[in-house]
Amino acid sequence: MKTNTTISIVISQGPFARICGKEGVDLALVCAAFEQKVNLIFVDEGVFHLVKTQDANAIDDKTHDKQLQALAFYEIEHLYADSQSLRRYSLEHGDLLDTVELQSSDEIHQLCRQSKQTVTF
Amino acid sequence: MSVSFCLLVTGSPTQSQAHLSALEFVAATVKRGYKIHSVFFYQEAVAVANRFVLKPDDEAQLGKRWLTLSHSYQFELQICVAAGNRRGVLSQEEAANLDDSAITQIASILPQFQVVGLGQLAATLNEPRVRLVQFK
Repeated sequence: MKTNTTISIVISQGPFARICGKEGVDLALVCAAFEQKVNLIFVDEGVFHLVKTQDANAIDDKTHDKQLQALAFYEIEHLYADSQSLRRYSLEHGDLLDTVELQSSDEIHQLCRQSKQTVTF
Repeated sequence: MSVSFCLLVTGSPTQSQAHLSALEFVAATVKRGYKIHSVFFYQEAVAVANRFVLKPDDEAQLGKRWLTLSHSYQFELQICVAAGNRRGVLSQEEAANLDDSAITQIASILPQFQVVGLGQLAATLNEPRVRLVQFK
């Protein structure tokens, strides 16, 4: 028996210091493959995952922006960034991938409350 | 059928309180008559299943405590294969992929832990009466 479930995955760590973001996105992809509705939410330093001018050549590793850009293909429809976090780092909506929707902290709080589950990274 | 709990443990056994809190949660939950569906270890938490960890006798033996609880209350201990592989917590099958032939036959994971994919967690979350609690 299967029920329709929404999971919010909140990423608050930056892209290069820790592996949290990558492992969070991996969980999001798998949940989407299992037909869950996924809210992928970036807050605090996590918003740096969404910056579209990252250069993988500089770090001899891969960056996430390409993978994140393709999320709609994996049926993760909503990619959210916390607008207060953007302001803190002097980032603007235009610095981020085009598919990102900005939300206030209150709205993100609501998204999590309306989800069956929330997992934080 | 009543509610059962799936625990997602992501915190390190050495750098967080995640495992101690989760172990206490299991005991309290069972005492109140609820069931533990399963415990899923992801991120740094997978290190608790490494059988090559040696801790002084008078300190909390977290791996052993998980084994005891899972045996007493009949729930599975599940380790994410990708998270384990990144951190050297390998089943014999996974160790066979190593280049170093001297250690390809050696599993570093305690055999009572089940090596599974992330899909196992997603499938558990799709079950209607399972509640998720994360410890990080």
